[in-house]
Amino acid sequence: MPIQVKVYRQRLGQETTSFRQIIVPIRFGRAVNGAPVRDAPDPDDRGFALGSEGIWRLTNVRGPVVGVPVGETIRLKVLREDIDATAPIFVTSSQERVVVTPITALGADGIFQVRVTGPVLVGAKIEARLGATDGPILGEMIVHVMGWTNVPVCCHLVKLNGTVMNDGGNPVPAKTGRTQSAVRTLFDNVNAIWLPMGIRFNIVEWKDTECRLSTTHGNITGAYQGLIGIDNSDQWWIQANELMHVNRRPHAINVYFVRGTYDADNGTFNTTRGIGTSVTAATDYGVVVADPGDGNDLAHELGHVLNLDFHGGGNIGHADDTSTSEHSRDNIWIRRRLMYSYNPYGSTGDGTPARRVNVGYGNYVRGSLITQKHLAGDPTDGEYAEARTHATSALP
Amino acid sequence: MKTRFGEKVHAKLFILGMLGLLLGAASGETDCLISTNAASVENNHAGAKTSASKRGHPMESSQIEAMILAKEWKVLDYIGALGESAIPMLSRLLENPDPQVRQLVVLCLEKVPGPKAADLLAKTINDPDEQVRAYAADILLVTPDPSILPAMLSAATRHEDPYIRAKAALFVGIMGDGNSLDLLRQALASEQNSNVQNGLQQAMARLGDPAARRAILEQLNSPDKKKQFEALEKIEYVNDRNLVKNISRLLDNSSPVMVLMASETARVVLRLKDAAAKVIAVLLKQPFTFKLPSYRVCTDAEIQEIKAYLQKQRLVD
Repeated sequence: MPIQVKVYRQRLGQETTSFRQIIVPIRFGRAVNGAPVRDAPDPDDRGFALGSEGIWRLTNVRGPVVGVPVGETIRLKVLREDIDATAPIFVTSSQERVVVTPITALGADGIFQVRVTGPVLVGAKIEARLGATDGPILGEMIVHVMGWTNVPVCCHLVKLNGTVMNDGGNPVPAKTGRTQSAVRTLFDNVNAIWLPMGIRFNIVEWKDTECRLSTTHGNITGAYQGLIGIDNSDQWWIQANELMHVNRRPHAINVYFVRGTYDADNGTFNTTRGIGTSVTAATDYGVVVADPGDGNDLAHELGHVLNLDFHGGGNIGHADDTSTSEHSRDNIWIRRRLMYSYNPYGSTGDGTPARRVNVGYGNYVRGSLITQKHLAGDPTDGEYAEARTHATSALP
Repeated sequence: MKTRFGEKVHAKLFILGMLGLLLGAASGETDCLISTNAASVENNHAGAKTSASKRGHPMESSQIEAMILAKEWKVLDYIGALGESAIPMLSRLLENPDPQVRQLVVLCLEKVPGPKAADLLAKTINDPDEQVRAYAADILLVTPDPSILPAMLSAATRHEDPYIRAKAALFVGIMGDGNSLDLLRQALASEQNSNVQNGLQQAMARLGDPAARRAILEQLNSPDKKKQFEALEKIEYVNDRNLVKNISRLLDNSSPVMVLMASETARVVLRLKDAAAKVIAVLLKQPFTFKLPSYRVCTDAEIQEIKAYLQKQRLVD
């Protein structure tokens, strides 16, 4: 069978007499495009290096890392970059407990399954091989295996009493429009996003919480019916913070579902869809989510509770922050990350490359990648280790 | 409700809740109306506890057990009333094959503190589930009991899970003595895991080891703000008011050390001086006109009050 492998050459060193060849015939990617799907996680394929955290770094693999909890089966896709469409590609696993199917050549869609049947210490090496299961290696990656961690969540369906505000001529209702059923569906989406971390948010309690907030500051002049007041002052957070003290369940993440947020500076609604506090703040950590918020928004705020990306230190709060400036990165890698600031992120102006408009989840939709790797030079990286540490321990 | 038994439980809770409603209304606590599936009560959201069980209507052990098996976290509001009589039942439930049940049992043990609960928790740090044993180690630090010191010393030096070793070391630092210090020193000499090394160092510092204290104070002088922040957290654990002098100079440092809360466009940033203020407040047992039990941004007036107090008490470096 004739097989064509394109070889791209890149002059990397200063030597003129030698070339270093980088051959990328295939890549590993999500099995789906669009919204997150539970069994189709987003592999951390940022570069070939494995980073400084995770026991898999002790292997000699160069490639992506995907997390899979014990007992789960996921799908991944082999993307043909520089190889003939008809070249037979086989996928193999280095560990008996990590079972790869099919054992025959991949189909035209390039999709294969990975089933984890038991714990594996340093992860399983997955190899894509040419022509047979013992053929030349085209690409490799790591399946990082972990046990499940259940993070308890107390859901508050909140009714906020106060001054009636009109949004589009209609009074904003006092209570969130979400039902328990709707919230469960939302958490299904959240848990699909968090599956590669082995973290499962588990609703342990429901509370119907009714309250009239009393804190004021600047343009936040009082309680608003159904709404959390915010503004652009240094006290923008006071009403969200007050709500997070109400009717709490200790040892669980308290998630407050409210009708909306109200920007008291300019009279707009729901410009902020979610607010999250780090568990390291100890007594009043939690999440406030407005009704327009979706599963990605809630998953993002829960990431904040598990100290993402606050673990970068200084005033770093999101994946797009650096140690010297906020919101300074908006490349495709950053927009693909769950902890990117904006969702939807909108156009950055004429000439925005298409690849930055859609990072695989829909136009202008923030991605759901939570990083497994801890790559040098990015203080927001190593999200797996940070989130797992807080998720596994008993929350205050 | 998942079980018929659970329905009975909640029927009782409803009645008790109605009682709580009447009592709450009578007490004039009308700031915030809070209702749950089990009971409706009037409550002041500043922290007043007015649910029926907390007013002295204990549930039976069998009812509590049913709630735990149903993984109903409301059980945490009721279990405390059983006191140590709950221990045999909780001990039995720690054998349950469902890790989420055992996770809840560990939290129940926090509500019935004492040597028997501590003994069960000390055994649970060997649970096969990573999260259950982590919960046990964390709760032991919340309600430390001296009776299990030997078991925790052994865990600090020999447990195969580094998370448990680190937490056990912190426990030994709280409950240990000079003999413990020698064992911690030996453990530190052979420990490879950096998190456990940190735990051992803090425990030794708390027990008075000069080298360990010196290392923490050196970290407090690091040019890296993140390391300074970590040193503050260690000093809070060491819990020696004499160390306040070493911290006081940080009350003038406005460097950001960590974000506490964020929306898409705004954030709440903790400064080094806010972190220092909190640690000082904890070490001095909250002597100020305001409380700082956890991290938050302080006002200028609060920082000034702390400075004035330290001057007056001669606690300035």
